[in-house]
Amino acid sequence: MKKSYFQVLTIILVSIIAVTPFNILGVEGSMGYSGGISVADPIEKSEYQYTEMCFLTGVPIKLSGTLTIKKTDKNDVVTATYTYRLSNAESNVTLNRVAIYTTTRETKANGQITESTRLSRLPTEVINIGGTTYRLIESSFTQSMITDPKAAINYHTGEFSEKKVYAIGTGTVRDTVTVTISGRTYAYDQYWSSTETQRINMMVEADLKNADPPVKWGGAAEIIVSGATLYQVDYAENEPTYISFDGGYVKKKWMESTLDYTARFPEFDKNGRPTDVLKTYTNTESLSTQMELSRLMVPDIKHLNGHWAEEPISILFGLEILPGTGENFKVGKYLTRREFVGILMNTLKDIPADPDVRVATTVNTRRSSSKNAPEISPFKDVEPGDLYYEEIKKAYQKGITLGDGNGNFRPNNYITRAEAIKMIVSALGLEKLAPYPASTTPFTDNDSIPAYARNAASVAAILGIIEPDYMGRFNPSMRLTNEIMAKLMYDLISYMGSELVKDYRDRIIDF
Amino acid sequence: MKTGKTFIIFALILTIAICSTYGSGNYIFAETYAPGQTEENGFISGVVKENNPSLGYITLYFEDGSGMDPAAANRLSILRTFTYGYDIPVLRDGYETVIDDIRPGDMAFIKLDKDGYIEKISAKSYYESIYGTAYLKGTSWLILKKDDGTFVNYTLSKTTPIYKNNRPCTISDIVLGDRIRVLVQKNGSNIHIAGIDIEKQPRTISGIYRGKIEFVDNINTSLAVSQVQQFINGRWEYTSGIGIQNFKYSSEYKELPPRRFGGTVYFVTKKEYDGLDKIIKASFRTTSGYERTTRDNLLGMTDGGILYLENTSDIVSYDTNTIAIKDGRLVDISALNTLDPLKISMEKSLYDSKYIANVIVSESAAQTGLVIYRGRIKNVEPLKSVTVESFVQLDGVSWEFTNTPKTFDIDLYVSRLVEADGVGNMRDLDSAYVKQTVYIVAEGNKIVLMSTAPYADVPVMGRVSGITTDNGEDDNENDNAETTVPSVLRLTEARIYDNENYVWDESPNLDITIPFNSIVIKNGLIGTVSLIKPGDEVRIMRHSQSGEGIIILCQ
Repeated sequence: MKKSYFQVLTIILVSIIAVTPFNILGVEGSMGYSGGISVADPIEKSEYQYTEMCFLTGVPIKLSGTLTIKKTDKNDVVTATYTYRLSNAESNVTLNRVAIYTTTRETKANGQITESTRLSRLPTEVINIGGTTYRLIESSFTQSMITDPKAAINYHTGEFSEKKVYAIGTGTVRDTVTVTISGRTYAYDQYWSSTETQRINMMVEADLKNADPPVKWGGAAEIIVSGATLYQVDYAENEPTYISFDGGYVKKKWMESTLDYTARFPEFDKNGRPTDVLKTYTNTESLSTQMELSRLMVPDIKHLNGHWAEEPISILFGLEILPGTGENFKVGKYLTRREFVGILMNTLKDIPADPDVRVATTVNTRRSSSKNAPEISPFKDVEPGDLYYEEIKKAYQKGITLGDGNGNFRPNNYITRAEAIKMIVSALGLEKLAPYPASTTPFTDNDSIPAYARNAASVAAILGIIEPDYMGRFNPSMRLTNEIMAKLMYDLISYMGSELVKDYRDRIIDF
Repeated sequence: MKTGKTFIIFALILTIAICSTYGSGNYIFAETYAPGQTEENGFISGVVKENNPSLGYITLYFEDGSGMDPAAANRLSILRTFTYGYDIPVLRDGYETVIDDIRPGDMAFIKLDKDGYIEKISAKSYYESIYGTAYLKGTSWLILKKDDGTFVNYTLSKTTPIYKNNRPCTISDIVLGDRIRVLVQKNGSNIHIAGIDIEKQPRTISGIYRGKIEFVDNINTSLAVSQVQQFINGRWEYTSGIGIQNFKYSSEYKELPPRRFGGTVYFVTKKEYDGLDKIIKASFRTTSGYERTTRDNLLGMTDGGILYLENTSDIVSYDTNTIAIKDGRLVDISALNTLDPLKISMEKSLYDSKYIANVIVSESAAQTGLVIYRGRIKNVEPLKSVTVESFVQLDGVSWEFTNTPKTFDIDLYVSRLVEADGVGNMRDLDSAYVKQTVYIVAEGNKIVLMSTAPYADVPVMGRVSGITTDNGEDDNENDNAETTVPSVLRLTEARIYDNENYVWDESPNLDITIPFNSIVIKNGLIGTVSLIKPGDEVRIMRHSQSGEGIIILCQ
């Protein structure tokens, strides 16, 4: 009896290990570390459409195919298997590569997560280029990464270094090509967009002992690869007149990846020998997925037709960030701190999980005694039964608000611009963009901004989330109305959706 | 005696002890400790409001960032102004520097000495990256059109660092339409520019098109267009695409297309970060009537929208929908300068006397120092130089003969050798090549290209209408694999020079085979046939017997 009980328990445990997703990185790592780009396959899970450039012959060759990533997480040790199946029919090239990496993750005292990645064993890799086989005979790889999980965004940066030696053909005296890769990774994950960009320097050195005479040549490539998941909300107008609502908004989601390279390799003469003239190859390759379309609810805000904040309000209702259906929405109504935090948390949403990871967790078979323990609110004046209790609690846990310092949240007080901006910038985790904590701001009423919000106001001005009034003022004590809140949330979504992508992709490629 | 010695030693030790105590400042510090004091005094931090090296003072805002209010000025000068009277150690962003480099807006940490003077200072800058495109520029100013559509004017000094590809350059290297990053630190009315970066590889426009609007796809944000033509070299050319073509809008494209439109759209495309050509500007025109293209030089333009051209009496106007391109970049029309050579596409209605410019393209002439020689090799000094017995030099459509030897230098990193059957190796160039007649394209005395192609003496001019390889395939510009298969240029409006009668004979359509070892020069650069595009106007020197094009100069 006891034995069968344990058998059932084991089966349950294994099942849970196999299916439980774990909320970690959403994008980072999905392009591999070989200078390639990927987008998720729309049908096959854990499979990506993948493209990389092969420089082994001294002439860039585009390889395309699939990359399959499988990750398991056990006690903060992630084992990831990357399987590449690539080819280029025109150049008669095939590539098969399987690399298994082990990543050890450690959470530091300040909440930052460091990762260290190594190869579990020598990868298998065979490349056939026009009948010549390049077989991987030696490989080393190391990667380090730090993740700074902020309330709304996880920021990542890291570096990796790899060396691969390929043997050409099967002769006793081996011709070899050595590829040395060093790269930096910049990435972030959040709901409204995710981007990973790698700036890679690749050195290719060939040692052709069997050539007559034996020759050595070298070339280099600078590769920037970037993958992004993007959202966009567009207005769609109705053509029929007799329809119950005016147009509406469509949410579009897609992935796009870009590979931009500049390579300099020797020009080869008619006999295949390298000359001293370096030839420059520059090109951009890309992959993208078909857009996923989803219609947003059309709110009933006919009383706001033509209002300057109609579009932000309509989109926020459509995205279900604002509660309700809009008919009672008053643009001039002041927001309480409780309402604002609820809306802000709805706007920020949860950071997406890495779809490739399966986490192995142990299950506590004892009935948790904490289940029956009464919920303890982080604030004395917010009851667990409050309409926005979960949002306020989450905002407290993520450091977005700490209350008034006396254990109170003052949920019914009207929120001011200073308080709202402070919460938004805390959520983004970007306060260090200005001198901390003693920043000055570009606003004419700088001195009337409370000290606790001055830094946030300065950063918000840099990010373009707030604009001064016609006299250049920030107006810190001004209560936030619904219309201003709607514009603020709309600008926040725009910033998180498009401006961050520019910083992590476009500008790295451009400069 | 012994006592005397002991006294001297004792006195010596005492002196050393006193000197070391005072000298190290330990004694002075000991005096400043207050009862219960747990932190050292004399440390100040804050944001720099003003630094005046000539008068030797620095003013910080209050610790909480306040102090911008004019009413606070008095308190700031009393409470937050500190003086420095001698050379002090200064660090900024971790680097040793001089006090002049501490800028308003810096976060500064100051240590005061016992007299209240600054003993040392360190600071961190807070530069903000401003991104945009160069809109207008002068010798000491730059107007930037920021990514949010607003404009900002920066005053530049001679010392403002400007970089491209991490190499220092000058404001003259900024081409209007380039993407720019300006590192700016602002505080109050103080603006300091730490540097300007020009995009490393300007992404120039990839095409100027026009076509009949079929429909706008709002879901995929694209434009479906029929009868598509491309504006190449001042003329509208048919494209290879047949029927209706789809062009996606770039994320840069901010203006919404009109709700109802028909007629013609003129648009510019640029390669986006995803590698696709996308619309960055579109101009919707409904007028139809007379339309023509012209080439002219700009004499001036009025604020009222009139262009003054050198060689035409027609009135040509422009409006906000006019597409202006300069050196491959989409620019504001005000970026065009007097005497800029223009290629204009313009139209007017049947009853109007005034043309409206749809597209204006200005391209600066490429400077090239390349000279083409041909001569018989007299001597080869391997890896160093090649001497020809005598030589001819290409001058327009004729060869100028010089009956003296000439030596050209080999630079292995630059000099290329191309032969009929493929790329040669300059390391193999030795006495075996003596007596061979070769072309040498040189920059000064340095060989850039040496070719074994046969003598070409028949000049041909024309406009390229198509390029194919000899096996019938279209030439692929992205094909990295170099092929020795000859290409064929199809020329329209071709003319062949009659060397005997010194006249150009018309030959409307002409196919010219281009062998692998031909010499192709376009925009001052030597390349292969892949450089040549349909619409290019070319001047070719042809081999009289085979008719092969040996030297191809794109104008």
